[in-house]
Amino acid sequence: MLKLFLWLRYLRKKKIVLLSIAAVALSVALMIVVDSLFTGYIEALRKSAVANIGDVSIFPSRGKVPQYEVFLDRLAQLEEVEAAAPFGFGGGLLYLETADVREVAIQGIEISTDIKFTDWKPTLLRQKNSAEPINFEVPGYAKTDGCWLGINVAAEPNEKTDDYDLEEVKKLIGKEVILTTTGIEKKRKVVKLRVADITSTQTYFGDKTLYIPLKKLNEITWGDLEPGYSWETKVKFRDSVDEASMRNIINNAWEQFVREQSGPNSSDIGSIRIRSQLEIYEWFAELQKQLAILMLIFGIICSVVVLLIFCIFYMIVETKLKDIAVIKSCGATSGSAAVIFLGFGGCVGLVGCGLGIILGYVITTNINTIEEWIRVIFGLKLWRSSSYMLNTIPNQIDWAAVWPIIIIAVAGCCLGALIPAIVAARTRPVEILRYE
Amino acid sequence: MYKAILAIRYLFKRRISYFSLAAVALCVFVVLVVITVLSGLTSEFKKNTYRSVGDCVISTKSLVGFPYYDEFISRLEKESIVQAASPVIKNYAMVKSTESLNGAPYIDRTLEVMGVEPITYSRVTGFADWLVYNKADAQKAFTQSYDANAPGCVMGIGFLFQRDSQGQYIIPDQKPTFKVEISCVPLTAKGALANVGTTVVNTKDFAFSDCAKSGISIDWKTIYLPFDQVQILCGMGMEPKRTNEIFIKFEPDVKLSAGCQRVSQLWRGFVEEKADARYANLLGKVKVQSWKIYSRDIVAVAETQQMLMIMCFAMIAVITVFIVFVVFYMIVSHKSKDIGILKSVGVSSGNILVLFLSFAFLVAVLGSIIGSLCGWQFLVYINQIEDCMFERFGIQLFDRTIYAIGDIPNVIDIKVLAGIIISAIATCLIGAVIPSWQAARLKPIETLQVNQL
Repeated sequence: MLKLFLWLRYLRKKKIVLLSIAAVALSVALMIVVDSLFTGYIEALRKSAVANIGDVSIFPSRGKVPQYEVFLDRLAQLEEVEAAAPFGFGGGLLYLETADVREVAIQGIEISTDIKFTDWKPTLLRQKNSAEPINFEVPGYAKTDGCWLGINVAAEPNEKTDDYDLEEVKKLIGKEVILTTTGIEKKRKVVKLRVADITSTQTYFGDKTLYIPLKKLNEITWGDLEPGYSWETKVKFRDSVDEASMRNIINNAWEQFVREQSGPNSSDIGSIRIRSQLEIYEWFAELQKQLAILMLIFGIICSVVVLLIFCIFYMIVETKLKDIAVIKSCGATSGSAAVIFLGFGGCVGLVGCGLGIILGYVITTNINTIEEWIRVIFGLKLWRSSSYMLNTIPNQIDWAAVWPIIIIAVAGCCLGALIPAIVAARTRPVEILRYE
Repeated sequence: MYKAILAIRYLFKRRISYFSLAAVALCVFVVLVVITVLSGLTSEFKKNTYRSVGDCVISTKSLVGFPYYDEFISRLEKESIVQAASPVIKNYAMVKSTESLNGAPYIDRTLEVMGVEPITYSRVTGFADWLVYNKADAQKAFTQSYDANAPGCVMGIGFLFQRDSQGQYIIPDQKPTFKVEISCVPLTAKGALANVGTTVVNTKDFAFSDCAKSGISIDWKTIYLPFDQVQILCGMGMEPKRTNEIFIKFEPDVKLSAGCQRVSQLWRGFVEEKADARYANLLGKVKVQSWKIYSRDIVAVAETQQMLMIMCFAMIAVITVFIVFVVFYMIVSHKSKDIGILKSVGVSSGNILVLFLSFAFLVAVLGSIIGSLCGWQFLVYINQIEDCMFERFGIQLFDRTIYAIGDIPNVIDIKVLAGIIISAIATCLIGAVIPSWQAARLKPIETLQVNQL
């Protein structure tokens, strides 16, 4: 009780303590903001990668898989698997009626299964408010092959704001585009399509892609309409499944699928190659490493707060020697005297962390507004989707990292208070309180 | 004189001032190391970007391009400020390997195609130096001996060869021999498709003649072809022939802004002169920009990251201000009697203020020297430290198979160092100003009265 009373009294009476609280708050806020932004960025890229290629992708050794629906059903029945969908990738040149030729990535998707990976509806400018299920149908052109055009293919963002003129972009819906890509037997294939919708996926690469029905991509690539073939399959697992287990689960499902196939196309079934997201996007690991290096650099600099705490507490101990001597002369042990200052250090750490969390939260959650203010006031655009691959800065607090930051900050404060606490503990009342 | 003596005495006798010294040294050390590495990477990146475009670029975003470029280049070459100018066509192409490769991967992808005249392009950019097999010999850039019918092509090194853990490309001694089929979508001067029906694209085979290593992202996405071949592929070969960019290099003594202004003025005059010419409307869409503005999308990212890091460090400087403040506050409160004596023998309040600010200055200078020396030594050995960490623990600061960098930059920029030291001094003076002010305002009669003694 006495200790608590003294901590509160020192907090109120010793204004200089506010400096240490401010320093702790600043450091904690900085670490939280840096960690949250970086972690949010990596996580957003990972989610985008899962939407595109799943946690793992399955590549058939013979280029395509017959009766893939059966294999997908087999995967879908497994409790570890959250979703599985066939997909295909390609690249090409797209001629727009605006006399522009664009380099595009082509993605063939099957809407019914792909929506388990990407919530397409809110991304589609025309269909997002429609009650109908999303589709590739072009309004007014019933029997035409439709496509979804990534917004970055359809237009260039404003140089200053990095935003798109949506009304202008929507004018492309229903227009004809000409796609040149590699078709059957690796020959050039030219396909006319109409824009069914414009997608704004909030990711740079997603917005630079032309989406077409998987069936249409198969037709371009293999020149047939034989159903039941897929290039690749992406699989999303539930959170608790590790990479080795994922590979085992898929291999077992594949072996069972191969054993069950005995139809005319069974000779097309070869082996599969499984690629995990980490193998495909090796730079995720590199980004994690960069985050660790950044946190280390800021951690070293923030460690000067320990020096600050030491200086302030040393000063307090020096000015409060008489108080300490009085307490000790009333029977308090040296340990109790030390605990007063160690506890006070902990208090400073906790209060500073509290304020730091609030400050970090405010900055992180409003980071896009702050970035916009900087653009408006200084004319400086800090975040561009073409540079960072995401349209907006991730603004979620990484709560998992907040606890270690708090623990380290409080421990740092106690460490700073340690020597002053020892000085307090070693105070001899007889020396301090004698008359002369 | 007494000010210097007292400042030095306080520094060495009051051990608490070591803490402010340590804080300043630590901050200077970290900031110097991080900023040196970061600005080294940024300036290397900017230098490579500059070497890829020259000083000034006349360009249009439209892939249709603009005509009469050769006439304008002739005029530019007569200008005393212009060292060289070269037309460039930038477009997209489908590129596909057609023959077996010797040591090169199979290619079937969309790439950026650049039509260049190797001799003039090398005068403006570092193209000749980028060549791997015909280094510094731009004339031979598109020369190959194994297929007389196919023109040569120079490929960005990034999509041809892998890099080792030190960031060096693994280049086979024997030059690979293979051919690629390149398809472009040709456009008319009015922006329509030049070919109709099923043959929308123009396709031609090219034989690999060399690869280019510029050190920036174009190494991963660009294929260089002879200018006249790209002109035909993109439908720009019909009279009046078109291009979509002109790269210009100024004489060394020409200032960038003045040079760009002159080119801009010349271009405006040229456009007015050609107002009645065929397809003159295409000239109106053309911009004259310095290389910095032309490449701002890529350069700005590096500069922004550097600036954000400096802003974070500025936040940290606040904590150093706090430390200096606390230390000086303690010293002033302990030295109140000294101050009283000094003032009682006639030292003015201003001199007391100067005394403590000199002390802060001394702390800042010494802290900066210690921090700078440590930072310098760390930077000298930073690459050896990284190599050692990589050999023993497999840890590399920058994964060279991902980042296009060689050694970690470790050359200290004197301007950067001066900036950091000035900031450290300013930080210390800001931190010390309030305690010094309080010291200056102390009254001898209060500090020296008997009950205080």
